[in-house]
Amino acid sequence: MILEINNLSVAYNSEKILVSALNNINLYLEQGEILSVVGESGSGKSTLAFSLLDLLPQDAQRKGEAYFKGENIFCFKDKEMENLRGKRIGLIFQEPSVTFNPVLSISYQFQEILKTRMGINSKEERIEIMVDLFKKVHLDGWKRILSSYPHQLSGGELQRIAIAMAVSFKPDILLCDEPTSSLDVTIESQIIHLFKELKETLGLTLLFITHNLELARVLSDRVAVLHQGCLREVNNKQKLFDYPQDKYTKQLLSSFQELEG
Amino acid sequence: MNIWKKIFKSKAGAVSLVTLSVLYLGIIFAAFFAPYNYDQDDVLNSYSPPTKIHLFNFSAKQFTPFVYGKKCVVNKYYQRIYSEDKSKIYPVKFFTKGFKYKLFGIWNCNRHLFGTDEGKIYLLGADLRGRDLFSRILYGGRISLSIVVVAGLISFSIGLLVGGISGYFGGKIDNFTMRVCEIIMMIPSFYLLLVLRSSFPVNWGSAQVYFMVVIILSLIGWASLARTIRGMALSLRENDFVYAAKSAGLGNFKIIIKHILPHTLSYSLVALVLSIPSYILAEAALSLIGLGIQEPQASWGNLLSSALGIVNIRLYPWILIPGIFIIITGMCFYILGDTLRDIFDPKRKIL
Repeated sequence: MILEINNLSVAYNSEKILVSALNNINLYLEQGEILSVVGESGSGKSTLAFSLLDLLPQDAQRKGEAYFKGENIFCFKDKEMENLRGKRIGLIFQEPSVTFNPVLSISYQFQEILKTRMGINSKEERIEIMVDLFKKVHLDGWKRILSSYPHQLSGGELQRIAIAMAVSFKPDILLCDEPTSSLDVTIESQIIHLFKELKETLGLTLLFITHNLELARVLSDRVAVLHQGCLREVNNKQKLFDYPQDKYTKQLLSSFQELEG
Repeated sequence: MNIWKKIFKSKAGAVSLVTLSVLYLGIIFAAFFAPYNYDQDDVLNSYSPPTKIHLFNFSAKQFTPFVYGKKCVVNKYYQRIYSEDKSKIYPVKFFTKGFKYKLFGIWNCNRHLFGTDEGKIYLLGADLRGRDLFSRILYGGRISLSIVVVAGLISFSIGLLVGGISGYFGGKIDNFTMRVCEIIMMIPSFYLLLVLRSSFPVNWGSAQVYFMVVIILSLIGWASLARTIRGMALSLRENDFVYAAKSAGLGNFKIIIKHILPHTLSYSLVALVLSIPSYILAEAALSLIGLGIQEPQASWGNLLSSALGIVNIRLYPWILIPGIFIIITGMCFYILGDTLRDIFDPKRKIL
């Protein structure tokens, strides 16, 4: 077990009223598996990913424990947390067009990370690493990409760069917060294939957050269903889709089948 | 289209930019343009009015510019009345030799743009000790115009940093720094100047006084900039790219400096340019009341201090000319700031 979450609760403090976002979540991740977290919007999926990396807004309250390789990461000091982020647990965001700083070039942003986090000081070496990573995520024309600004690239390209950046650290776990929901279907399937491929070649462990049941079925080993901040069901993909236990899971699956016709 | 082209598209912006460039060129080459050194006095020419430059010498039928010699009578109020002595003719020479100076502080040089071998040429008149006002304005501009830019930049950096930190971290840090800003903004800036000045010793050398004035000026203007930047940082920190930078493990200060502050530049650069006139005025005010740059060093403020009495202004109106330079510089910076704001923000969302 690489990550074990015990009794995780998150509440947002809005106007002195506590709004619960996650309730007593218990979840674990095995080395090398892909766990999908599915649920409707507002069910707390993104909160789950953000709370693991301590990226929640300041008014949020977090309780519980999360053991990453035996260490409780919720007790980490700021410096330890900074060290954990990216290097050991990576995060990929939903909207690729806003995850990059619009006033800095791709090259600068990528190199900044390689320089400050990986300590690679020679520029040639950094470029070599970037070109190598771009090859891994199937991005052509690295010269054009490095010299361009975020607004000059398409969503698919940007998401691939974001993945390349996240993978450059060789993290133990990659959290993906709906990484394909803002991309169109063809790009989506390419990115999903990329994740599968990277999982094989790099031995990634993925926590894949999505609202798309089809994606969860294609990609994951296990699936967790979130509803209104509560974990309804966690099971093997096959079992969950064929023999759903929970009432909400059944509803979710039936509505999905209705759509499929 | 680049920014220079856009500035030159607006007439007012172009004029102010050119004027400022001329002024700054003037102070960079002050020693070359000035016929006399800033402390070169001549008691016999006390309060000499601006010298008339004649172009045609009708008696000798020459077409070279020249000046006449001077006769001086002291009237019963001990006022010196100057008149032209037409028997003495001193031609005005260009690229003539004069006092020695160091160009850019490196090369020894003694050439000046214009001057006379004998006699005196006072383009804008002279002061009590017979020092050339034109030369003193150029030398004074060196201090006045450089102090405000340095002080403006320092105050700009403090404002950006404090605002960025305050907005990014929020919470208690934010509360504390914003209360400090409010206290500073509450004190009328002139009293703040005096309070800060009184915390420094009085008998300092000119270089020390220069740095003191820089520090004092930079400590008055940062608070309002910090407040605005704080507001922008508050909204910028909720952007995904900030979370992305965080999730990649970048440190807080790196995020503030590299990912938040650059987004405030279009506002803060304009604010910087627009704030410079107030620094010019503050420096002038400090020097005017004798707390800034000290004699014999010239600054536009202490040049004006000799124009404090109504009698002096009545009798020697040309000693007000440094004030015109202050007004022109201030206006140029305002107009330039305005033009820049229109360029950066055509919809007038900021300021």
